Amino acid sequence: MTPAFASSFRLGLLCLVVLAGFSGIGVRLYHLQVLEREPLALIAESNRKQVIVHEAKRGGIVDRRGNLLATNRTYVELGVDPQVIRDEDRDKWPELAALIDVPLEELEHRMRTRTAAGESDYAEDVRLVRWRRLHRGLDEPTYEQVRELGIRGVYGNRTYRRVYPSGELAAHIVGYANREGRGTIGVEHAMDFYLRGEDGWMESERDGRRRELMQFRTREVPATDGLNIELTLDSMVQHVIEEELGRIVDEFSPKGATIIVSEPDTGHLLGLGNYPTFDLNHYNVADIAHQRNLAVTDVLEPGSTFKIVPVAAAFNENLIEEDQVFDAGVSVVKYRGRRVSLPRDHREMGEVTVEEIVRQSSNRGVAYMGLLLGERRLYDYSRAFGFGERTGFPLIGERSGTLHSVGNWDGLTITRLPMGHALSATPLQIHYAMGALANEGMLMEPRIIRRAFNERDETVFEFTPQARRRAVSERTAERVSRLLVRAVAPGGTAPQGEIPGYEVAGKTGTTQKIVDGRYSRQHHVASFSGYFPASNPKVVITVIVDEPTSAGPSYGGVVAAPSFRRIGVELIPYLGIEPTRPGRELAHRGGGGL
Amino acid sequence: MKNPKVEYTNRLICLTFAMIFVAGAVGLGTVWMRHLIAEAASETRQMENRLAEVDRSLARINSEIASSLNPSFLQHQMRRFDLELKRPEEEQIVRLGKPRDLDYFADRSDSNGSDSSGALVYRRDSGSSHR
Repeated sequence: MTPAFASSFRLGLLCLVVLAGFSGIGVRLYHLQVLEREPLALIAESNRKQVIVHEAKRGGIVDRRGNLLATNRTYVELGVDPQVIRDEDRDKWPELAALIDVPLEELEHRMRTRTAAGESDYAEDVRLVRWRRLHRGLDEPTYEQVRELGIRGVYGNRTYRRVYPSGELAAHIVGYANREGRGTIGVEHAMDFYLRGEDGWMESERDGRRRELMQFRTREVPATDGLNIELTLDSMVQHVIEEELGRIVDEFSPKGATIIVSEPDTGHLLGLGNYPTFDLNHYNVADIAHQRNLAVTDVLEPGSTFKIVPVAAAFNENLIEEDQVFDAGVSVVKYRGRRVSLPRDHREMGEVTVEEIVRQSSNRGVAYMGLLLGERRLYDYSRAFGFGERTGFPLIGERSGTLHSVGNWDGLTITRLPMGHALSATPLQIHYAMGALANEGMLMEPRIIRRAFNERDETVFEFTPQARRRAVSERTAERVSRLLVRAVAPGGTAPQGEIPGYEVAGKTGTTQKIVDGRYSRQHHVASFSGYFPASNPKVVITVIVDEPTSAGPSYGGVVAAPSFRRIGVELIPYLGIEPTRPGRELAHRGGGGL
Repeated sequence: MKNPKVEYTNRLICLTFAMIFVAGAVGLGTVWMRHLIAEAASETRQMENRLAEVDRSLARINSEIASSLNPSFLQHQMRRFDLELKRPEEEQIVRLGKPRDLDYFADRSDSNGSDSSGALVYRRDSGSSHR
């Protein structure tokens, strides 16, 4: 008889093997579940769980009419997973290279590089490359074409990026946000906190293919999008300014130029442009010097545009009358027991009235105003008009200019300050000082931001017009305005600034720049600041041109005043500014002997 | 007559089957429910994706519209299509003054007082009737 195959020994052996197998599994389980539990649990958790960040959308920036100046747009960051590319797709690579504008050799190199150096110091330590960027910012239509090629392993991630539809328009005002989404200059910087919003997040789980398992979403905090900002700026006015800047550059090839337009009664800036400028969409390649907002970062001697201050101050203190005569033929006068030299005029003038002093921009004549006022009052009125202090402009980089306190004045300052020497100011300070006269003597704070609003167009907060102080009385402002109208009329320093049918009040400035410690005859700053209609001002316009090169003299009346007129002519129909009615001109009003 | 022991065993077997059936049904129900949840979640995700797509398109269109409204671009188009558009001359502009009726009501409002909405009201001490 054949012995049974399953003998007791064999059965026992089988049981032992099975038991040993189960024991091995048990030991391994103990090892995994007890000894190495924590690190493994962490790995499992991190593979399964994920925190997804919802990026808040940065708010837009619009002008006063709702035209978009800054917004967001999606771009695709195109990349490849070299581990999954197929050989049969290689025929499509040249087409892909052409679409994304990358040389074929470079594309092939990126597609084929499957490993990269690991994090440890060992040379043989490598890691697999699962993502290599092919293009940083592909637009949606091109991405669609790439997808249609159907190359396996090539895919894109969408990201929102800041775009500036108007490019260069109002570049120094709007500013830009960098790649990290942080506002760097301009309104983008000043209002960054409100524009950027707050990111949201959620906890969720994913499957083995790293796809989100939405049903396992747990905590979810929605993103709060940034607020939109409405500016006081008008794109059309800004465009007129920038066109004029282009004309100035073509004609005079200056080193720099600034044009500012604002409403006198609110202080709202309608436009502010500088040359040189830059394209906001390509800020990364723009010269850093071109990104400076010259209107607030650069200071200059205001020159004759400052003469409005001593004249207004003397009127306000009842020290002069329009027809009062001063002798501009003498070069030295006695002042508080000492001899003081008077500055020169560009031509001999002899006896001049106050009206002629303003109309002809007499340095010597206006020096008398300084002497009549005395140091303290001249200084106080200069401060009252906003010189020597920041205007309150909300964008970064504003300088306060220089206005020395009376204790630091030398013996000549009392006669040189009235003609706009011995102090420095930004173009914005000069502009708002002129604006004070246009606004019945009230100095306003510059306003560039009107309000912040949410996506339902509900105003979250508003910036209302803010008066800084009264510089001079209403009557004084009117009297000086009347004189400034004469400065722009034939016989004045700036007849080129005249606009037919409108009374224009304004003042020219021609400043010699200080080069190597002395006033240069070759380097000038030509300026003109004025407003119209003088009897009911609607806009204040300031044009400042740094080192214009022209065949003739670089006077403010020749270089800047024509620009003032051209801008004014463009703005009249756009802003609906009515001409001065006959008989209602400021020059015909009572209160003066003109 | 049935054997009580057999009867008890039969009942136990029936109960066991019933338990297995209930447990299976609950298990299948749970799986089915989870499947439905996953499907609903998937649909929600698709809707979210579509919304995001719409959002992206909206952003793109808005920025394209803004670029098209840029004064420089409009000026370029004007030259391109040879439209010869010009700024109006002063004599071509007709300015409409405020209607006289409005002035009249404004005067009445000033002399009689007005409420915050601008509607006419009469002062109580003016002696005129309020009703």
